[in-house]
Amino acid sequence: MLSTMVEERTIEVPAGIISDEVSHEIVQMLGRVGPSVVQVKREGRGGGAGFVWRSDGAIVTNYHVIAGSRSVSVQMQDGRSFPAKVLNQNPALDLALLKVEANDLPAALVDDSSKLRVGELVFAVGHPWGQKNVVTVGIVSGVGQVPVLGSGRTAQYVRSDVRVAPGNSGGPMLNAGGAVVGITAMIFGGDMAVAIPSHVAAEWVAGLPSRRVMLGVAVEPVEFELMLPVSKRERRTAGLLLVGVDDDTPASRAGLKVGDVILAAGGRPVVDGETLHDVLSDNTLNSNLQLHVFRGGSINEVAVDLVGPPQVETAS
Amino acid sequence: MDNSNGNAGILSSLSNQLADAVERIGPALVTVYGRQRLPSSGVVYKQGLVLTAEHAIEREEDLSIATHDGRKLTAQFVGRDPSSDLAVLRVQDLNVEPAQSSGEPRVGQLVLAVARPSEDGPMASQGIVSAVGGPVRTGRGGMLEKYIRTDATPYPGFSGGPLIDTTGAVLGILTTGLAGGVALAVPTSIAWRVADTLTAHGRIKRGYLGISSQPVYLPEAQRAGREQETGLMLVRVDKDTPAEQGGLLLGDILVALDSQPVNDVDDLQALLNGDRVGNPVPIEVIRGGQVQTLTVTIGQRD
Repeated sequence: MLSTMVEERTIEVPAGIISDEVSHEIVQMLGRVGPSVVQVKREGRGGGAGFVWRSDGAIVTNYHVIAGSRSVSVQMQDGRSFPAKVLNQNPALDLALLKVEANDLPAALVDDSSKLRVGELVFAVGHPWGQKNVVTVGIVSGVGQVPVLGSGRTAQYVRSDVRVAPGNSGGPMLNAGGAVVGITAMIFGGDMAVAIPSHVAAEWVAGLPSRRVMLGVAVEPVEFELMLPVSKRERRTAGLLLVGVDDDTPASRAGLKVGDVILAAGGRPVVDGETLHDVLSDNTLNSNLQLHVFRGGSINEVAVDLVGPPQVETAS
Repeated sequence: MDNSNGNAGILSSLSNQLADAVERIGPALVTVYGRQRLPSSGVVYKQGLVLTAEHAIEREEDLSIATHDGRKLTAQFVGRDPSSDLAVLRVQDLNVEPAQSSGEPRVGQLVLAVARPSEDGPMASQGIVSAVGGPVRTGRGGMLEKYIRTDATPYPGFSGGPLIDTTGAVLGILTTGLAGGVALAVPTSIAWRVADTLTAHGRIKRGYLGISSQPVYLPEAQRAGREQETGLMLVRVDKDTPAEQGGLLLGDILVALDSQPVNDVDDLQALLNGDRVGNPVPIEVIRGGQVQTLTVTIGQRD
């Protein structure tokens, strides 16, 4: 028997079955990375793959794997299953960051995908058609730009000839060293996979707030006729009606009250919860957020101090 | 997490070698603009000459190529050979080092299909040599003496690009135009020779007899001791043609050319290749129950 220590795990390899060095190294590498690959399940059916980004429970997957789901669960290779919160999501990049309550997860090694070369070996690990932990091999077929739907922008991509299927989405694309160089995202009929380069994901995660920014309000979108003070003319306006203000939150400390209508945040009109969420996400470097609030027939400017205790890890 | 993957093992070496191969062939890979739809690929096989897929050259004027360093250059049509799906273009001031040719392909060896279908840089897919076969009828009026079959994925725009080995040397020219979408490569030994002929003459010479024929079954009594079961009965012999001048007659059953058996029209087409043009060759026919050998000087098909 040939046995190899990998991260305190012993892989037993029956002698004679794996006789060539390439196969042996592939098996070892996959043994090392495997525990970092997770299955992401959402309520109802469907789901995909993901991988442990940080040992503190941060999981990266595709946005489209979790899109529209409130409850998502993450299943580890060792059988553990965790409920996961969607910490952040970016439809344009097709990325989502999940968080589970754990501190001991095996984080995947992430490499700089900007150095990827056409022809390099890559391995996709995922759960095609729900079949768990399937590994496929190929090479980097191309690197370049693809248009991002509806945005007019382009995003970098890695194309590969690894064989993938639905269920691979969100899973890691590994290089020969077993480090993540991409996140399998789009699948074109079997022999063409498009992955989001890992450096794009790393930049995205690095730009996210280290702490959740929250106002501490419950809102409902409203539309009403607003009498403009200068022109004395009415204009149809949309905003967010505060239907709840939590105690001891930035909102309560700034004096926001139930019945107030937020018209703009940080200078941007706020028409729905998404917009407010975006503004909060974009505003993490500034601690102060300027709100335009309609109260008692007039528009007031309210400065909200977003920093300060307590930090609560829930969305607005 | 264990970060120690620095001690590059054989897997990393293999990965690097594959990427090195793509990098090495890269400069010799060009984008070929010769059809309405998406461009195709080509490879610089000799100084100033680009080998590409014949089926991707839909016009013989207004051709251009794009190089690895982003230059877009006008290309002149040199010649085409539909039976091997190869065409040659000449490009002034190309100044690109021609690709290296590899040795004989071996079944099972690792290969890369490489191409430059767009400005996004080279593209590649990997596989192995699945089979080396031939001769095969190409369905375009010709025979290919030898072909390489691979399981590497031919992406759109890959026709005309090379199939390379892990050193970046060219094993063949990839095309999906010969076998109904299946990725075949014309081996370098044939492709380079065809390209040289196209460069010298603009086309591939094909032999010509000047007959119409029909395959017939040979009853054992009429085989005159031969083993083959079929031959070609001449149903027309055109005037002032090599066949007529060589003495072939209507009703003769052609059974061999240059000592090679002729069972059907494909056999005959394969034997009427450019090498025999202009040469007197023995042709065996069954006439009146006897085998007769005539000498015919093979003409050239226009």
